[in-house]
Amino acid sequence: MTSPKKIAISIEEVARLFSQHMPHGLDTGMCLDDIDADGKTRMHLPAQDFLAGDPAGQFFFPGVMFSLADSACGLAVFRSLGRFAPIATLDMRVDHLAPATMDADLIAVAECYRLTTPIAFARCELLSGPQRRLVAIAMGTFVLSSSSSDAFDINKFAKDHQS
Amino acid sequence: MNKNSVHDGAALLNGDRVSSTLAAIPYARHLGVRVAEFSEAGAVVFHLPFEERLVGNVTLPALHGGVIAAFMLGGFKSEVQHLPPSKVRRCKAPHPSAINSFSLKTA
Repeated sequence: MTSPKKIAISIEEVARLFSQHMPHGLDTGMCLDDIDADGKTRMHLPAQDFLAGDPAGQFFFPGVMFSLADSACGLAVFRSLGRFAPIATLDMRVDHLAPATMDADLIAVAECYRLTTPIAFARCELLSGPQRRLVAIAMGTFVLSSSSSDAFDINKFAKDHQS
Repeated sequence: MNKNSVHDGAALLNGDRVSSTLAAIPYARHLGVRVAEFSEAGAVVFHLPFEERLVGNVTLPALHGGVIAAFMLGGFKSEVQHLPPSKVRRCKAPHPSAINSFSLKTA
């Protein structure tokens, strides 16, 4: 008679919901882009005055770049896993190659390149400016929760945030 | 006596400088980072008041890793540089070559 209660939701949709409702992502304005043919996870962060690191507002604060890389890597891990499990950043290293200018969105391109039972390995490139110049490279490891009993109920989360 | 008062003056001046350098970073202002203590020995204690919007992981829940990185970096920058805002702007590379973050515990 009525449609089944259980909602079928793709991991891409889940990742999108999560990126949109993660409090700090929401606060800074991070957006998850559609998955591309190469399978990499792309995010963008529009330039806003409060994200600057210098008084003149020309460059993104390096900590903001770290936030975006961390989020993109985390979402790449979720996609690689194919399901939602609680993960935590264990280690993340960011090499800054150039200041990230605020004349265009900051772009993150991330991939999870190795997945083991307790640890996921991810890397991310950050691109800035109209020329999409490579400004930072991040590498991180994430620890995956081994217990499923205390796993986060993503269906409930998705349902709570869909409308 | 004289020595002491000179020293106090220097500490106060440095404390003001750290605060003003911090205030010159728009993202540090957005996070709400402030100088909590400034000792004569030169140690600075920074304070990041908790706010819901700084959460990055709703499952744990924990502060966003980037918030912690930015908090520490803002502290380093404002303490190390001790520069008036006019000079901060002239820094060609206002960033470290690398940020290494090892999460020991969720925050």
